[in-house]
Amino acid sequence: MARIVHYLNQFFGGLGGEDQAGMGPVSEPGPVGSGRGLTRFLEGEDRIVGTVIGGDNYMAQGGSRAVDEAIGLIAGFDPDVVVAGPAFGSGRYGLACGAVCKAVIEHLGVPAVTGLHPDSPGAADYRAWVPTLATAETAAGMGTALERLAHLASRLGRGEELGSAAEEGTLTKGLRRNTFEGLRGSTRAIEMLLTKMRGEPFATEWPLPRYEPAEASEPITTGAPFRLALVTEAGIVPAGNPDRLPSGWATDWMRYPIQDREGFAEGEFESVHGGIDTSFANQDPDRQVPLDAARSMEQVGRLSLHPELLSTTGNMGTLRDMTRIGAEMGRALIADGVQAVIVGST
Amino acid sequence: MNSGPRRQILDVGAFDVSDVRAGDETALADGILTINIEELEELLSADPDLAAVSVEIIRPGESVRVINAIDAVEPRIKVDPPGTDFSGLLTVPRLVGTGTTHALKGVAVVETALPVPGEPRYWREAVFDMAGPTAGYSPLSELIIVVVSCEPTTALLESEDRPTNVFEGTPEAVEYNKAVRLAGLKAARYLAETTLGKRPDRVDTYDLAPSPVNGLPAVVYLYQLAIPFLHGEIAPGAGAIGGAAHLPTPIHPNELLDGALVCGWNAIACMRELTYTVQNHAIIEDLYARHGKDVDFRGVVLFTNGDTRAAKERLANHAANLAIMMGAEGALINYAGGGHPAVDAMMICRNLERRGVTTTMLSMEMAANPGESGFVHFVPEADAIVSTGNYEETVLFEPVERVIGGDALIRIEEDPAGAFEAPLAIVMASTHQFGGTHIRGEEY
Repeated sequence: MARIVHYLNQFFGGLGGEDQAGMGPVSEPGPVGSGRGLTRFLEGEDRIVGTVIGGDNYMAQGGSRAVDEAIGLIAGFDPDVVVAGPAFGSGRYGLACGAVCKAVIEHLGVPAVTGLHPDSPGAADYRAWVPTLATAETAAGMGTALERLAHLASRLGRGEELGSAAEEGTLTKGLRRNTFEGLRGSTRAIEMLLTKMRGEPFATEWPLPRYEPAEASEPITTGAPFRLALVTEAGIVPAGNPDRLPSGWATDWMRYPIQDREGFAEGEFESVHGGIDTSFANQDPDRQVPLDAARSMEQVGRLSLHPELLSTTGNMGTLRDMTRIGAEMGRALIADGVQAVIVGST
Repeated sequence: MNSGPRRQILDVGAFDVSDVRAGDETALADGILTINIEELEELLSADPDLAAVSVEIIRPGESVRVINAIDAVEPRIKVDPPGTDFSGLLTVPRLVGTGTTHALKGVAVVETALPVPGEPRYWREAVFDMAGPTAGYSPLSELIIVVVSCEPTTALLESEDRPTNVFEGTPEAVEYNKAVRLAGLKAARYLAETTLGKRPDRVDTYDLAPSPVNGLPAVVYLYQLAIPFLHGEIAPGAGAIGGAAHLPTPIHPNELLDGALVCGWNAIACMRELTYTVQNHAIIEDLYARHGKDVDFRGVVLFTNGDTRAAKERLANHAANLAIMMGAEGALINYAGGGHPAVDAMMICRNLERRGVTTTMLSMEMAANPGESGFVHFVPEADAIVSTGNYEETVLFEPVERVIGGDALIRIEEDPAGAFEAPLAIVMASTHQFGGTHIRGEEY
């Protein structure tokens, strides 16, 4: 018999709607809400020994502390396997399911599985670590999803390894590994070209990444001084890099006060970007981030400058980390009333 | 006075070699190549830029790891016209890609060389195993290898000069690397001399005559060069060394197969343009094999990369112009690896697609971490890509009985004879851009 713990949000846990989204995680013995449906499809003596319910906002805003609270409650049931969701295409709930499952696998050493729509944010962020059943976009797909999740949970509970994504109906991890083909690459390329020229279906071996389209904002046309912020991914930091901003693979960003500066003097700021020749940026950091020019426009009343430089290193940054960093910077600047940003890029 | 045939036909006479042995006389008999090692070492040691040269033979399945590898060369000699081997390097620049060439098949000469001060080392690590799990990654592991190990002079080892161009190295280091490559080319020609006066096992004929069958899809190959010697000069505008990018140029594929193009720089090992992989260029070989059957092969356009927006625009427009001028309905484009070259290759893909030429690209992947696509740059038009492997994948090297090429690896601080993990990038020609191997990346 496998002991299963089920993670749900407040809505599917039957504790309320958006009004209860701020609730911290709570636990209840046995199955709750959609867990009762899950129970029907479990194999043999497998059963849900407990349910942990977290509010969408609490989990989304609470970071690792909120996840730790949920994990503590889950561990209290001594599970053999943890099921989260299914959360379908939902944003906050899906992210919480992913974060909880990843923490269960890494910190409790217990297998976990969730169900998410392939295009959901939780899938994008956690598919590399968490076995994720591909579900419909809405809860209309609940019946099928519960049956298949129960099946996966029972197998994980028995200690089985899951097969490939295609076999299991799970999402690929989104990682690339090497394999060997019967035909060599040059021969496959000619076949692909001729197939494409005939107008027949062909499958690229390396699908292009899908980027969210970025809509350009409306231009600022009021003529009144506007609020401008300076941002860079060139790794511009105070000399000596006191916060140890990495030269590549950055996962965080920095704020540096610039309100007392007319410009960036050589020797006081520098670039730690590991992917470019930084000598020009180090000689005159204003040519990487135009503080001197922005300040002179501020002095004639064209704009008002945000008091901080927001800086990270774009070199080798993953799309996921850079998307998050961009969103975090954007939220911070909008909260400060910033209307426009210049990104000194590399 | 017009007496020539107005054709450029190359016959490569292939001599299959089943074993290579040390012996008293360098000779080829019944598929067995015997080498007088002392004589070959003496020939190669005459170069004043090298302190010593030693020669060893290793075979597939032997527990050997080659480190500090530089290039690989298939032993070949020009029979007709004679004296045109490795144009521009062993001879003054000559017309090649025509007449008759003899090649020893199943054998490669590989040079190894200790790194020296003033030499760019970032990409230099180059390794392959002849047995074990990593042997399957390098095309060299399937060949009998004549290893030519070169030692630098004491003066060079103690040099304190620093390079002004970090990609190129000091002039002494450049000279040393060239001497090592020349040693490999000389050894290749020396070994192939054993075929003179003999009948090859088979003859491969390369003739770009117009397709006898009308209406076949007309295909041009756009070949992005890394940094090779082209007729003895670093190819104009190539990569980091070249400075201003030169315009792409059409070139006869036979020239490329016949020694006009030699590996000239220690690029990342997995994508290093080995002379061997150019002599046996998979894309050109495959296009020739289908020419007149289901493909009308129209020729090759060489291109490099620009280092400014303007240079890239000029280069990408001109490359597409040339392909269209050659009648291309379809185009194969390979990406040479690196940052800048990715942009140029993708721009050419876009230009061709927008002008009505169907494209397929060959590309290595660089996906190290979850969430990384592995692309440096892409355009939406690049919807048909053949992957030649993800070189960031970690592979496990198992312990070996013997290491050739030095006592230490360059960037990997591990016993070179021991077990260690490293990215596939350090394995010679493992993900090379001509698609000559069977590896590819896949999502999982």
